[in-house]
Amino acid sequence: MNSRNWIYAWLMLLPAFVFLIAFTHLPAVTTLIDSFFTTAKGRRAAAFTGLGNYQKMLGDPIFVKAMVNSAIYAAITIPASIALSLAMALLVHRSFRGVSLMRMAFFTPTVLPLIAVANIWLFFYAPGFGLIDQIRLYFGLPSANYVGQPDTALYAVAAVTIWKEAGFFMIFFLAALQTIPQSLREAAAIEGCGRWTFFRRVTLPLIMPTTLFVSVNAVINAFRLVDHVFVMTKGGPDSATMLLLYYIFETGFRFWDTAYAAALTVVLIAILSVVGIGQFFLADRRVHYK
Amino acid sequence: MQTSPSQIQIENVSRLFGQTAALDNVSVSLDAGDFSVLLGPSGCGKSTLLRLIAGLDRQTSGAIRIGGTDVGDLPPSARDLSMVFQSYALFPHLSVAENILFGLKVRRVSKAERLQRLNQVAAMMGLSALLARKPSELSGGQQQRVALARAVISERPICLMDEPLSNLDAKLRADMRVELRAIQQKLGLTVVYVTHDQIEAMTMADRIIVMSAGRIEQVGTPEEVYARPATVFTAGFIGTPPMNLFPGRLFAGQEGLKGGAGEGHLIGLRPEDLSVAARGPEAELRGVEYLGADRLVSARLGDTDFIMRMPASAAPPPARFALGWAEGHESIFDAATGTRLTQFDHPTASQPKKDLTHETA
Repeated sequence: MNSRNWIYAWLMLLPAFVFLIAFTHLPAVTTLIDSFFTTAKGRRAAAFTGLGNYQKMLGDPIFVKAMVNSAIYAAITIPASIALSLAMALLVHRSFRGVSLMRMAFFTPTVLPLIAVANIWLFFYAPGFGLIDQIRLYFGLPSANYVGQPDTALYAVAAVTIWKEAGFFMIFFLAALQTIPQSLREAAAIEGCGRWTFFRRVTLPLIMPTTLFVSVNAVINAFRLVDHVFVMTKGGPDSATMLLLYYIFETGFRFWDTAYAAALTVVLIAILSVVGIGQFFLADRRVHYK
Repeated sequence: MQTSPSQIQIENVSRLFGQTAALDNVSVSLDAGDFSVLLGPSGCGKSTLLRLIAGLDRQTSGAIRIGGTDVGDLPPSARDLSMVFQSYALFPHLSVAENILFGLKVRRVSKAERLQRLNQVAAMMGLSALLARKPSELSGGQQQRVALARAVISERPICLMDEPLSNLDAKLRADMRVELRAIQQKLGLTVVYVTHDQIEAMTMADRIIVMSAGRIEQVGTPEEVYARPATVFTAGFIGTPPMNLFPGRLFAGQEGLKGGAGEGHLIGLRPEDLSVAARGPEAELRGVEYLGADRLVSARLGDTDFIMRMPASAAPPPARFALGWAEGHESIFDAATGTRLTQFDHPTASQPKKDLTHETA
């Protein structure tokens, strides 16, 4: 009887198990193994190189560029999207006419696929007739090609990410704000506590768990969201928007250097793990959980 | 008249929520140094009135004066008052000490003075050993004390309290009643206290403001409100069990009633003022509840059910008995309007010269 229950249990789990193993765990393990071998080419089989692929990275200027770009991209998009989403949440965390319309407007970018968002922003950035250029021309400024210039392309791409993410994070902040009892605000008002002081001394500490959750997500997304790079810049111009994940894609599926791509992937996963765990340990002391 | 800096005057105040009036043209004056209790059932407007005094809400019409100054346009912090909330409103991420000091810090009181006042208040409230704890590590009663300490440390002359004891168990509530009253007396606070619990009102109040449906039914000392309810509502709200109300015709022609009382009136008698007598209207026994010291006798007179309280040492009444009452203790109300008819009151030594019971109706 008992063993039959076990058979049922395993049968029930089997479909999910098969897919998880086949598409997540097995590829992860083979990626790690592949990263220690050379890429098989023609009749030449893959050979063990140890840390050869990792050594190659240090001398690879595009890899270094991608790492720097990813760092800049993360340093911009993470704080900016968190700050913007918190500001938007504070803005719509009250009742006035049209507040639900405003909430919906803030949330809309989240619903759109990133590919579609990227196309919309291409129109914004389009030199000559794009939205931004039309505004610039109206004020008598010269036309600008933000996506086409190496010194602005990365920031132009980062802006799209912030725009896309802020609405999603806003929902979490809004939910957190709504759990703060009204009576705290009233008690503070009687003590003569201004809005800024209340925000800094009460609101901010109380939404800290949400901020931590959102920031972990923002970190992951900073390395994960590259769809718009495909549409807008393809990593260019002159590798100005080459991000680590996009470089992995290029190496693996354009140049078919799969072993090197596997090594790059391991680096990406290592970075994400370290940052993610670090965030929890660092923030844990400052987070007040109920 | 000279107004003390902490006298609160409510003048013709109304508060409408859409079409419904939470407060309907209310006027009352709360004296400085008094423990005033706003008493009434849920939805009577007592909390609304408190929030208007605090400045957390704005009246639709009328004026509120504190110490003679119209505070209508002043924010809560400029009204020189403190408040204790029903939920305590403690900041969950701050320690007890930080919670108590929150207001002083916001107002930039010097660190030395903060510490000195904290030690003093913590000692008074018995919180000295708990200062480092978070609110979630305290019992309900301790949280209550922290909320109270936060109000006391502000050293503001007026303290508003919104059902502060309603989240405590019965034993603790009884202790805190005594303690609250002692603190108020010691510090000479002007307290405005909202409750629906008449025991809290009776035990702590200098003056009770009985409210119902957005209006003030009666303003008076606990004794006045109990012995001489101004309206049928107050008579039925104050006292457990409340005052019995008999149609006047049942007593028409009985001795002991002041001349003219009877038809068209309601006669109110407290359970303890009723007794078994030799002569009187005939009542029918329906049941007896034994409470230890007392018996509560349920009976019926005509078609009116009533309750009579008698000492447990006395024998329960027979199935049919003549109803007697303590003369001079009856309250006569107009049956149509429900208001007390003072011309039938018996003068008593304790009765104040000026009748305060009809300041507002």
